[in-house]
Amino acid sequence: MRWILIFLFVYVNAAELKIISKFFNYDPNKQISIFKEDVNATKEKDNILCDELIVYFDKNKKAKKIVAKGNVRFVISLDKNSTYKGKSEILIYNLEKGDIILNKGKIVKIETNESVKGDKIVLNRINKSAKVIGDKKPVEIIIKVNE
Amino acid sequence: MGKIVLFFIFILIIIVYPMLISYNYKPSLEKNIKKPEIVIDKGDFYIYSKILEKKGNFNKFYLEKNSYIALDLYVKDLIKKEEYKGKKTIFKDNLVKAKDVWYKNNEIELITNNAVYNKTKKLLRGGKFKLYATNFRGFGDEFLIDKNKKIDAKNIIYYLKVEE
Repeated sequence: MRWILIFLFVYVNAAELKIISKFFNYDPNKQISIFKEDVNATKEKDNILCDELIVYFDKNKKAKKIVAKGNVRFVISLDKNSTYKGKSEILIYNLEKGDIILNKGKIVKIETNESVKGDKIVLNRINKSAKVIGDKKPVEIIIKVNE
Repeated sequence: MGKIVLFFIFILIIIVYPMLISYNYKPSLEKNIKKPEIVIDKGDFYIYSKILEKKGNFNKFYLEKNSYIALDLYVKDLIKKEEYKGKKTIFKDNLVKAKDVWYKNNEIELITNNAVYNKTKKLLRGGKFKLYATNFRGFGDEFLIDKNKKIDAKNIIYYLKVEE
């Protein structure tokens, strides 16, 4: 009974990210999956389009980091009132910390039409925040998200 | 006279030498018995290379033209930790062609209708496939697996398990 409950807990808490691409490579020694050309990654409302996407796995073969490169366009929903649409050169999604780092990106919050541009924008899935970090000036803008 | 004596000593050495050599010789049956490389027993087979390397079974195995054909073949490679099942497997020269294939290694499971294994290059390639691993699964049009178990594929739809 206990194992059934554990299985159900893991199953309910696990979701799937669907990735479509023209070329795929999996290297079990480096524990990475590489997708190239017309990459389209979707999970519920979230969507990332890019030229190359790399999934890094940890030693337990769990996905730990996703990196999207080249003409990155995305729609990311932190909750039902916070959906961000934007572009960046590189998108790094750290699955453990919930950080989504956008290098040289621009985002628009769809609900309020607020837009932010920066060398480094950090969205966080856990505390539902968006930070813009300037490269030269110590500028930091925080857009608070109502729960 | 001296030459005759030397001649007889020489002859004596020739006669006695093999006897001296064979004094410590103990014939060993074990050393003379060569273990078979392949054992086939009622459809089950075992392939040895000093130790048991592969084992498996088949429904039918026959020769046709220049090819060996196995029906419902199952092979387990105990060294490489790989498993293979094929509805029809054709062995010809350095190529192994197969239909309705299931292949498993310690990383992935793969199912395909058509596959070809090149024994020289150690490459497994094939057409439409289904791929399963601990935290992902995928479906694609073509695949290639090399000796380091790296996978290349075309037109993939891939599902990655991520924890919320």
